[in-house]
Amino acid sequence: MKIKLQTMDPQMKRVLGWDRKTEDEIETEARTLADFFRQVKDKDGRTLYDRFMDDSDVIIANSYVFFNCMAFLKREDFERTIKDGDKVILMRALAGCGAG
Amino acid sequence: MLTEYDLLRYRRQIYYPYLGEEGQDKLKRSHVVVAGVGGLGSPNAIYLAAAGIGRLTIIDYDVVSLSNLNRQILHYDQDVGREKVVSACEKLGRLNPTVTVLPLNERIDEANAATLIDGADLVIDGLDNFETRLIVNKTCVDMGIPFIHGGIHSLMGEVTTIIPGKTPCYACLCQEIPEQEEEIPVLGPLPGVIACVQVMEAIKYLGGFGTLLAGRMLFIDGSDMTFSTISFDKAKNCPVCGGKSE
Repeated sequence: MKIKLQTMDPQMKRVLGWDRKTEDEIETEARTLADFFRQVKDKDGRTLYDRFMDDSDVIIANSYVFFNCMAFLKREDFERTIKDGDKVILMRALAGCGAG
Repeated sequence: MLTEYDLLRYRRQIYYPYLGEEGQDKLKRSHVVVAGVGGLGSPNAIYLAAAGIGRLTIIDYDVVSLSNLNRQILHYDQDVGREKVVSACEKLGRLNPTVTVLPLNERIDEANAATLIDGADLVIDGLDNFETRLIVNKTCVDMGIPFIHGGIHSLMGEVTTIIPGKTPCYACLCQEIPEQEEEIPVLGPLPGVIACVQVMEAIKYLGGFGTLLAGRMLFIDGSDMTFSTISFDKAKNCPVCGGKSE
C-alpha cells in the first residue's frame, strides 16, 4: 500500500532531504502509523519515529503531525492502523516574531 | 450608527456588498483585543484601526528596541525605549481618531488573562511565544471568544481561526510548550502578510460574511510564495476544548 507524506515547511523538507518536492507516496507494509514512522528515514538516516518522539508520552512539541486531518499529539495516537491512501503531513509549530 | 464621516472614510469597503453599511456598523460596534503589539500586532492594530473597529485593546509589556524596527511598523526610531503600548496608542490615534484605543502595559498570564480580554468580541494573536498563546487560547475557549492565531518563523507563517465550540483550538495542535529560540530570523514583510490575513479573518467574522479559516491552517512559505491550507479536526480529548463541538 502507499501512504502520502507531505510537508510544505522548508526546514522539514531539508530534514527529509527533499529539494523542491512537497509530497511523496511511500510504499509500505507498515501496520500502524508508528511502524510507518519507524520505516521512513530522514536524510541523516534517522527514523521519523526517533525524530518526532521523545521520552515522554507526546510527540516533540515544536512540530505538528497531521494524520488525515487530525493533529496527532500523543504516542498512543501513533498506534492507529493505517491503510492505503492515508495522508501524513508534517509541519513545524511557529511561534511569533520573538523578542529582540 | 454610522456618521457622515464614517460613510466617507470607509466608503471603499462599504462598497463591498457583503460588508455594506450594516457590516461597517458591526465593525464600529466591535471590540478587538490585540495580544502583543510587535511584529504581528503592529500591522494587526494598524489594519484593524484603519478598518474602523470601534474599540481596540492593545496589550504588551515590552519596550521598543532598535532591532524591533525592521518589522514592528507601529514603532519608529524615536520610540526606542518607550513602552510599546504607548507608542502604538499614539500612532493609532493619529491614524484613526474615531477608534477608541486602550493601551494595557501588562504581561498576560494565567491569573490576569480573563480580566484583560473580558468583553472582547475577538482576540487577535500578536504574541511571540507559545506559553502565552496557550494561556490566551484556553481563556478564549473558556470565555467563548474567537481567537485568530498567527505564527511566523523566518519566511514561514501560519494562520487559523478558532471559534470556541465549533472549531479545533490551538491546544488541538500543540499542548506542550515547545522549546523556543530567543531570537528567530524574520524578514519584516512576512509578519505583515500574516497579520493582514489575520485581520481579513477578523473583519469577515465581525462583519458576518465570507468563509473563515475555521478548522483550517493556512501555511505561507515566503521563500517560494506557496500558500497551502490544511484542514484539521479537534484533538480527541483535548484538555482545553474537550475535542467536542457544540
